[in-house]
Amino acid sequence: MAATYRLPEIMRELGDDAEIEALGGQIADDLANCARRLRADDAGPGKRREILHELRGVALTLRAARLVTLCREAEAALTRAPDAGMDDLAAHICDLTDMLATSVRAETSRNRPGRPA
Amino acid sequence: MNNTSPPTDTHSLMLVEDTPSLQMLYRTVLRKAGYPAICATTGAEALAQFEEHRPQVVLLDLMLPDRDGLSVMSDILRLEPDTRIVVITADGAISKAVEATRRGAHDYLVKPLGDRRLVSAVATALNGARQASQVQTRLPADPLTLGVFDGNSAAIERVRAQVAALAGSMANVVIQGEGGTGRCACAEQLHSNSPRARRPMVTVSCSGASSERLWKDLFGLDQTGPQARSALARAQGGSLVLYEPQDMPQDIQTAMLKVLSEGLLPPGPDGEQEVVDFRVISVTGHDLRSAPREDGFNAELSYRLAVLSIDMPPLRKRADDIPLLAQSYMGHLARQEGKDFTQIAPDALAALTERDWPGNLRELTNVLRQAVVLHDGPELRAEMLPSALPGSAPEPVQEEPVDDPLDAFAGLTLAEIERQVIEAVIERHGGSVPQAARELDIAPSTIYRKRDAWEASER
Repeated sequence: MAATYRLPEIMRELGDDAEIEALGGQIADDLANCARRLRADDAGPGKRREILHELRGVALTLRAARLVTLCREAEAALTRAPDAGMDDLAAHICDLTDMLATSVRAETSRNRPGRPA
Repeated sequence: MNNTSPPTDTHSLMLVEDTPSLQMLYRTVLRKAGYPAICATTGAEALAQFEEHRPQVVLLDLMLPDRDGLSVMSDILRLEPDTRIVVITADGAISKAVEATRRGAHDYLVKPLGDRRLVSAVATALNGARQASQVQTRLPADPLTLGVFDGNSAAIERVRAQVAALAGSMANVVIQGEGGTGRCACAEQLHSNSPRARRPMVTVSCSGASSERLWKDLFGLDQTGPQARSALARAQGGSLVLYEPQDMPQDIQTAMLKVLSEGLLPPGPDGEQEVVDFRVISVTGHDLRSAPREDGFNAELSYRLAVLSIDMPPLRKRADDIPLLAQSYMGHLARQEGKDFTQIAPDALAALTERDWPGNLRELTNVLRQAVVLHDGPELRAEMLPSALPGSAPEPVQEEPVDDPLDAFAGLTLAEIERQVIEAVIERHGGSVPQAARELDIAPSTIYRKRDAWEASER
């Protein structure tokens, strides 16, 4: 599944490539970090809900609608049945998050293909 | 990005957001707009930074890793009650934002934050904070308007406290109550005591208004597109007062909800879209907060409009205030009518206090005006009051057979009767539409609109 998203408007206004890369890099780091923590075995329901909430905040900012929806579904599932596993959904969210992180990092990199040197 | 001058104090703003990328993003947007912010990522860090810098405005994420954002907000307001706190929440958590507003937050933002909405919220909060510290005097108010809040009853004390508490907030307010309880005066008080007092207060009546009329009045649109400057645009920086918003046609409700949720005005004649910068004060006889909606009013719009609420008590529930109100109104009316009334006799006071006053304060002022106009002072006595009042002595003229007042309207349609009544009240006020509107408890725009319709039907 393609990770469709839109970079925040401010990034189009930033003339400084280094600043765009820093911002894009931080967004990618946060996404990857959320995926890593979500995969961790020791994450209980409460912690997972916190991570999903944080991830949803970043996904909302990127207008990544599919990821937002999945996070919301997972949060609701955890609220309904805290002890029930959500491995398939969580795994799907993690995969999508990783794809998004990679894509954002590539798009905001100063070295991306097609960018003038 | 905005037309507001940036602050000169570099510590005027603090941003509390725990997600590093979002903090970086918001800080960048704000810095580019001329609002540099100090930053914190936890509740503890936020409080430490606040104690050191005392920023005027705090942008606060409600979900922090170490503490609940609401408790951090409470601590900040305890340290500095005048701080303007703008809370940030993820979508779907509107109820928490509303709770924050009830507990003293100035405004709330829902993720994802649009750049313009973020900057606008900060600019408004900072301007409000600066004005609040500069404005010493309030706009002069009509004595009758002030009189609404006279009294020592628990009911009116509660309203006074609510007005004082809510005036400084950015959140939309609904003022509910029976006709004649002073809802419009309450709206004026909210506006004139707010940081927006020096900006316009624009009123629009939705009661009985056609969809076409409201498209034009509210949004400045007709079939050919943007035309006149809309009420929304004129209210920018100030307050938009909506009378009976539940009477809006469905298409207007949808358009209004879009404006409030997106935070952008419809494009003006020049094609430009302004960021919403007004507070909506709704005045209604209905309970906008009731759910599920049985009157077809858009529930989402009702939540947007009724973030905060004030219930204006009927006069029968503040009977203890009647002596003070009557004295205050009589003095004012006597000055208006050039009479020398200075006091109210005990029997007249007893008659006034015993009545239920279904028409509330408006009915009380009408009764007093009638007595003041028809008699001379200095004492207002029971026999001067209209005979319908319990406890008052009958006047000699009422010993004669009295015609049924409805006889005058025999054969007329309801619309014709309405026109006669409105024109008679305008005439009684020497041609003043605003004064007539106040007595009838409708917006002046309603009268102007009806006049247009009457003239059109005669052409």
